Amino acid sequence: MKKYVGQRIKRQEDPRLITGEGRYVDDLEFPGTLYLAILRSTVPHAKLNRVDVSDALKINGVVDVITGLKFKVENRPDNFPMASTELLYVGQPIAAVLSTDRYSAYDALDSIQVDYDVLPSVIDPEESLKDQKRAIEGKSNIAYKKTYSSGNPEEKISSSDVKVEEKIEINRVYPSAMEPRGILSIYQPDLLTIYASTQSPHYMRRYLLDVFGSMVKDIRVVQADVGGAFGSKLFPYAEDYIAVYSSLKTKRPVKWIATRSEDIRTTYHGRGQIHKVKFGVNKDGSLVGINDQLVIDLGAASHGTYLADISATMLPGPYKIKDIVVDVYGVYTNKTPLDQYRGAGRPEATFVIERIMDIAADEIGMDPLELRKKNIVRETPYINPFGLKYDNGDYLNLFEKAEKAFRGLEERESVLRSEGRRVGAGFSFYLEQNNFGPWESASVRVRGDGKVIVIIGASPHGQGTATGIAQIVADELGIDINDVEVVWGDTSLIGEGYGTYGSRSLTLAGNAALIASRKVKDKAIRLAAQFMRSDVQELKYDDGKVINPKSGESMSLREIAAKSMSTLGGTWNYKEEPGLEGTAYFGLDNLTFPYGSHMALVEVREDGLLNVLEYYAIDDIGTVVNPMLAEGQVMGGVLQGYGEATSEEVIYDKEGNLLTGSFAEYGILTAMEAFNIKWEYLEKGKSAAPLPAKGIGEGATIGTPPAVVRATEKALNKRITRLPMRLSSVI
Amino acid sequence: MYPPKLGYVIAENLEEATDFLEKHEDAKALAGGHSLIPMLKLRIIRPSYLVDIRRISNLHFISPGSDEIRIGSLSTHYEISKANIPLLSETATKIADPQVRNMGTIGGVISQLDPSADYPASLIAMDAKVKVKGKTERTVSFKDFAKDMFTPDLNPGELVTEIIVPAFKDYKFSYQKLERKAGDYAIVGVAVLLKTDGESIKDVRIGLTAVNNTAVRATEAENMLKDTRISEEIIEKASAKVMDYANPVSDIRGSAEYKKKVTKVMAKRAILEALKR
Repeated sequence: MKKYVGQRIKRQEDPRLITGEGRYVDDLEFPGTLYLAILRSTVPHAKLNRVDVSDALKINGVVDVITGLKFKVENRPDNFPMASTELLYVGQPIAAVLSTDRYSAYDALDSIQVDYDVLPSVIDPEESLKDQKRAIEGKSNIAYKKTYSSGNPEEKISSSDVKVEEKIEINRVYPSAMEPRGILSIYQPDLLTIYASTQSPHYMRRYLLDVFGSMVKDIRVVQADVGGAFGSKLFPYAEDYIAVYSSLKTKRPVKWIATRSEDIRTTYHGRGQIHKVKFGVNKDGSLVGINDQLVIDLGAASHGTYLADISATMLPGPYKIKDIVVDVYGVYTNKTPLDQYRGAGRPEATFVIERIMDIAADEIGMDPLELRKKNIVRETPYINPFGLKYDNGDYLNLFEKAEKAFRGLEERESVLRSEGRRVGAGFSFYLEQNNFGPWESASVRVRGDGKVIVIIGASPHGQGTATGIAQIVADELGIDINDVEVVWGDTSLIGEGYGTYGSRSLTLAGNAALIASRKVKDKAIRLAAQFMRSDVQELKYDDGKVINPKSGESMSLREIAAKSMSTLGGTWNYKEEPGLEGTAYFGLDNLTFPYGSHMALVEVREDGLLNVLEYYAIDDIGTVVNPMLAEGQVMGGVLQGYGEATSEEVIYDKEGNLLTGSFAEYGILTAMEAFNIKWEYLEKGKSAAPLPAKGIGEGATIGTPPAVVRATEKALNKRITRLPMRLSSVI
Repeated sequence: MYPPKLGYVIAENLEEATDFLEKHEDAKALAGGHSLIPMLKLRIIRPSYLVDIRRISNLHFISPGSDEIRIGSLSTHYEISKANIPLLSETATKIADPQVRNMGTIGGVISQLDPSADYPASLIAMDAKVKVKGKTERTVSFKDFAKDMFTPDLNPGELVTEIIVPAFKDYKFSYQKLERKAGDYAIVGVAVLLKTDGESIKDVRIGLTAVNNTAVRATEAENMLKDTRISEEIIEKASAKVMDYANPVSDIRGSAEYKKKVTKVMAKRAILEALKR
């Protein structure tokens, strides 16, 4: 009996967080802690000659100053985690001061002398592609080159009715987590305990042990409360290595907390792609060929290349295009390294293909929805030209529902336009790819008082996943949700796990918890058989109880747990192993592909700002465990996507100086710019998991930008091919 | 960021503050701190001392008179927003966000003279006067006081004690600010004061902020409107004229061209909103 799954249950996580009782890394105090401050490059590119720390060491409170620290970490520059020979971007660590308080630590940074010779910098990714000036000395700018090709796009384009070329730019954004990054490393002989603002403690343990494994037996990583991450707190950072090394070297607790200015300079930026597309469309609306040159602006390290792979392979989206080539170039620039940001490659792909759809429709004078329908995949499963298997769902069915809503928006659009207002309605259809694996873990443990603790390997940080998983476990065990506590985020709680990223946690950890709950039920039956002197075969588990239908006898889960614990100091006289626990690991053999549609009615004001008059989204994400959690994800994602479409942009000047170095400059929106969002969902495209959810963490950041851009384009009657739109140059 | 080491002095009265500031030229007066503290944290400034003047109660008043209103320099934006001062109270409601309005002071704003601050558009339109006290006391027009951006007419040891604005009884007014997002610096701010008689405009004052080094009056636009009958056409023309007084620079908030364009939009909006009152 399902009491909880499918219900709008309030988040169990909230009362603590919204009453100021959260415990973020910087709230944790440990006696004897040293504070780490990092001297950073103020120039985008230079040869580093000498770092003189002698004056810094004289400052009262300063315990140590570290320079030239160098570790070999995959895809990171040679000058990692600190510059020792070459400065590669503004914000790159050069030296680290350890002091007894933060103020003296930052004071000491002023006393470090850095001798360097400025080198020419490479800022524009298209310039970088020419490979004339080098972003990193002695290395080609082209860090990555790959071609994804299917069919014969050149031929198809040349024989098509209408050929179009466009340059589509998706600029860099700063992930803007409310809590900047931070780490506290506590030294004990043989064991380091790390408290971190991270999306994955288990992964963090593994990558730290790769480097420090010879210096310490184990590293326990505990995820403190995390004030947002959006992908940016998944992969290792220079400061993590510096803090851990400092704590091992000084044998003391070391804390590093980024200031906002540091965070905005060093937390990996997102997006940063340029697509030069050529495509051919026939008069009947069929899109026959695409040729895309994709340049990804990697910054000063090459760990972001996979984002271009995702964008390339997802470029066909939900459309039947067969003849397509994507030439991927990953180029170095003298900027902050690039990595994932909510959506990670799929928003870029979707923005490009949805722009292509709208532009193709404009070019041949067809309704853009009709054109999409002409090309949409009508049967699933479907193998796309690059081999991705779109699992299931009925795209056309959702499309037609969305179309009905959109025609309503168009009616209002024409009424308002007839009043002379600059209003436009924009539509997008997206296909997502999520549940990035490989698997997730969960352990369900019934305690003597009947309370159930669920440990998950995923590490949510604001999504409300614990509430969703409590719903799943409470339903499966037939118990009150208030008797279920979900815990996570500590490598000592469960052997292995991955974390929270790629819209995966509720599906993968949720199903692991479901399977673990089933193991607990089996065990409950076996214990009950002993306690009730019955045969296991005679019993069944139903609604929180083990019952013997023949005798009518029953024992609740709580009673079984209590009986297992009854006599301290006694003996165990049953033929079944004590304990009511189950641990399970769950993975899927394919990624999942949810889909949906977003639409906006937008007015461009006389002053160049936008008003969103109406916004509607509809998604098919498989089984929805908690519609309120899902809706929250959609609302946050729409506003984040709206910011990306309208005002968020990391801007460097031509020389590589960061012009958006604080929230006074960076265009992050506020609650005042929010608008009403109407959301609905379908549950047709179910995943192959026992609880067939898919995931909604990123869908809205994928669907929103193309819808908002199309609406604005129509309102202004000017083609827009850039994110953000920079309206001040368009109106 | 974390500020560099500095001394902190709490002044009990005005004389103590000005004496100290005169003796320590690199000391800075601390009122609301909403420009000072961020600059300290970013280590853009490194004063030897902060002289906290917030306890000097005789700088903390608003006294309305029949001809003019005197505003103590420690009055917060929030207090000004509630004081029913034509134009200036409305301007105060549009500064930054509630947290800033609760702390920030008018004396602080005009001593800092950020080119995109809100008050200057209104103060220049109102012909405000500024009372300054050091060893002696003097009163200067706001226009002369605002010498250049970040450059008030203040000698070492001098503090702004009071801002005096005419009462502008029977005037209509509006301050219109364009910002990218709530709480942001102005892209442009336009302040308008109007006196009408039936369908004609008897007096008009238009102040501009954020599009020049310091706030300016759009005098030719004012002259176009003065003693005319209100019409859409004349408002359109005058708004276009206001644009001539904008010399903005391109930055992350928009190109110079865009800022000029929206100066006209905001001028028109301010005139129309004022007329609606």
